Amino acid sequence: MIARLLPEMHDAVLGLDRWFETMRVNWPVHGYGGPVVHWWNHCLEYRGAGLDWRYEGIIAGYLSLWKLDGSQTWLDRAVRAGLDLVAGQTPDGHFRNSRFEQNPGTGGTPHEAAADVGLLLLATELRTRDPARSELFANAARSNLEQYSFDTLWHAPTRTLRDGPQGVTFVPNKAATFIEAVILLAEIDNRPELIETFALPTGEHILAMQQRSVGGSLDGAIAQNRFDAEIVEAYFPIYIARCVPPLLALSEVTGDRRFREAAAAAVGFLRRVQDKDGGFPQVIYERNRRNRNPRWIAGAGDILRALAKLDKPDDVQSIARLIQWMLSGRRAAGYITVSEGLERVVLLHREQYRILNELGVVGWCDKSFRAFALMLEQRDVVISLEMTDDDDG
Amino acid sequence: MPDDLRAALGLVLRRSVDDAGMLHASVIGDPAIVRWLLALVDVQDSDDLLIVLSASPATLLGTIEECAPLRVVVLSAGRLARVLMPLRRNQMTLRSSPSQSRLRQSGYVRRRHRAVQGVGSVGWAVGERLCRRVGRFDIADRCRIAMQASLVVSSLSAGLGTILIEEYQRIK
Repeated sequence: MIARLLPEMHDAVLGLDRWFETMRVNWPVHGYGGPVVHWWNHCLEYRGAGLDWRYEGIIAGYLSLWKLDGSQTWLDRAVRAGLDLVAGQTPDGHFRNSRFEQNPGTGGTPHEAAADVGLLLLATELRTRDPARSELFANAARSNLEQYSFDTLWHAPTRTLRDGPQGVTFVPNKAATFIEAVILLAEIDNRPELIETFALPTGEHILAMQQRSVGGSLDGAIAQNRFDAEIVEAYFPIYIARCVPPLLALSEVTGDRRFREAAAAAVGFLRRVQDKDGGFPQVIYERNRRNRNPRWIAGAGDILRALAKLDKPDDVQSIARLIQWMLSGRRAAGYITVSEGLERVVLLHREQYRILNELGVVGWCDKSFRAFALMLEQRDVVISLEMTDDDDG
Repeated sequence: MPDDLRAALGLVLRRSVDDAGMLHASVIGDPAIVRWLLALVDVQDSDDLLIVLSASPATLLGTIEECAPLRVVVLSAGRLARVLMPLRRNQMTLRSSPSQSRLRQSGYVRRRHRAVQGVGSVGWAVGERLCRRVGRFDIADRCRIAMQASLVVSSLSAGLGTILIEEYQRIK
């Protein structure tokens, strides 16, 4: 079933690449611009370049395509994205306009750590091919991580990555992005102590925010955030999904199976809450109260990466339904639409919000781009998994 | 940038930027708010449009006497600013604008005006806080989104808000 969708995913990736090129801007710096639609806030006035989490998916996606067919164009696009970040970095390590839906401004979370992930993926790939550029990208990520995450956001007494310089707010999905960046930096710099100092305690904090009640409806769900000790009991599938790859990576580098079990439980939760049409609710609260307005379409790429990440996905059909859900958002210009149902959350502003559903937002489309490109890069694995699933069935 | 000010600057820009998203205007006023506007949009200097962001009445009047722009867009404290001050999280003190009659004396007539953060959005914000306090995060989230959506006051009560945006046209 998934194999049959590979040509469509390929078309979607090419369409997204075409559309990304139209979203290049040169104000206030070179980069990918355009409006942002999000859950709390939208950013419709500022349309300049945003050096935020869009770069994570764009760089990772282009690297996947480069590994798939060796085309220099894809590597050039990934490098250009890395150079955007380097050129847009301020002396204090921040990236200009990294606040996504709250742009303009710097210090966006998890956006700067996500940009670091993109830079470090590039640095890793270029280590032998282009050592000078590799070092350039690693330096930019290192500067951001050290000056902002380690020196400003890190709360040493509680070994917590805070969501801002004030208070001790902890947001698991943002912290998970930080884990991914730390693991990559530790590998590049050969500094395993970074994992011990930063990644492990952060992983422990994420585990502490995960619901574990086998058989319970929320088993595996990871709460959205906490303010000091007060946990906000809201469970967003997309943010839970963003925790999965970093937890798996942490398990791999530390050998601690608890992180892998946590990732598997999170994926189990995601499978249980998936809607029949392949989409996911925006958020699940206590007592199974759900808000389906809106349901992300382009952004669901991060859920696809999570579902497909475990070695043997239990339910290939679940993945196939999600891919079809994402493909349903394709538009002629090449982008994938933001969401469905945004107009139903704000009853008095229906028309205005209905239009927002239909926008293309680079910082959501990068999620589809990355996930589809990864599926294409790993097409042999995808096909073999499907055969295994068919055999079992 | 506080949400109410972001919404207000959005209103300022809505009728002023060109198709390429560029603003052709002169911008004066509170340095922090001017900086925010300049970060939001690419601005090219022009004498036709003057954008006044919480400037003192004397500064505003002095500038239009000197430059005589065709259009003036003024961001200032709205009628509810003082009343709602105790309820607001982001307390940013804005200056009041000169009266319409004073600007008419200078040759400018008010064409349109809108307000930001009226009773509706404040009501949603209070609802959000109450719901969070009793652990109803599901309703609190909806209140928060409704608050954001209703920041720009409806045209029926266009002048009632904590921030006022007025557009004046030169008639002399």
